Amino acid sequence: MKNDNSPQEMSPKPAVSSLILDEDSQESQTSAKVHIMDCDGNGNSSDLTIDDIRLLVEFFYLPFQHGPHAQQIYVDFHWLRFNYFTNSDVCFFSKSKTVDEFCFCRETNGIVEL
Amino acid sequence: MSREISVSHILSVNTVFQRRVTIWDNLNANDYDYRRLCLGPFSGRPTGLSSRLSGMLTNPNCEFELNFIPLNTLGQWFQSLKLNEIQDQIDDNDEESLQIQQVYRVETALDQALIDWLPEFNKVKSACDSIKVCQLNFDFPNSSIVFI
Repeated sequence: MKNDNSPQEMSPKPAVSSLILDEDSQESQTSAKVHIMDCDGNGNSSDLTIDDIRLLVEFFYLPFQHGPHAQQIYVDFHWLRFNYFTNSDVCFFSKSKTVDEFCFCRETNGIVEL
Repeated sequence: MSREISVSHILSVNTVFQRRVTIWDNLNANDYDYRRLCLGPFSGRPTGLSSRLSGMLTNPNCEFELNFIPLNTLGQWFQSLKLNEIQDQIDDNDEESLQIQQVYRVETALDQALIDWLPEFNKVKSACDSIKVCQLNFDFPNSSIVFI
């Protein structure tokens, strides 16, 4: 009967059929608690860095301006928006690395990293 | 709201009101448009204003927890005022002491506020915590309040 419960299936330890029913339920409770604590986000939020928060703050900065990094991202996207087609033509027609193509690739990498 | 508040501007307002005014600063307020958030640092208000004002109030974002940077940097601004006052007193008493002016810089204040804010993201909070913090009492001083 107990072996059919879903918490046991979710627990990392394999269910042992020879356990007494009380111990078995305790084990499932503790594993469930550990699971809830994981859901609280201790693991995820510790990955946040100051740069992450800085970017958040700079996108929602002051009523009349964005932060410098956010401004740079907007400038980069603006550049991409108005240079994408011309630079893709350059990439398509010329096999050699032109200056434009190099700039385009470098700018794209910059945005992907951010 | 004003991008910058200059000393000369405040002096002209003071002459009109015949007293030192208190600034109600809407720099970080977002109650006029809830889609906006103003998490940026306190800026555009020089420390030289302090002797011409009787107070500085801030009107923060409606979302209390998001006001960490504005309040932290405003606190740093106020601290630099206090340090300058102490420094001036020391300079008056002892002329040989080094003149170190604590200048409020927006960039360094923002850096410090971000460092202070980071641990807040790792805290596990309950709904009751924010209610306790939000119980703030505002005492309005007997002076002109300028909405900027």
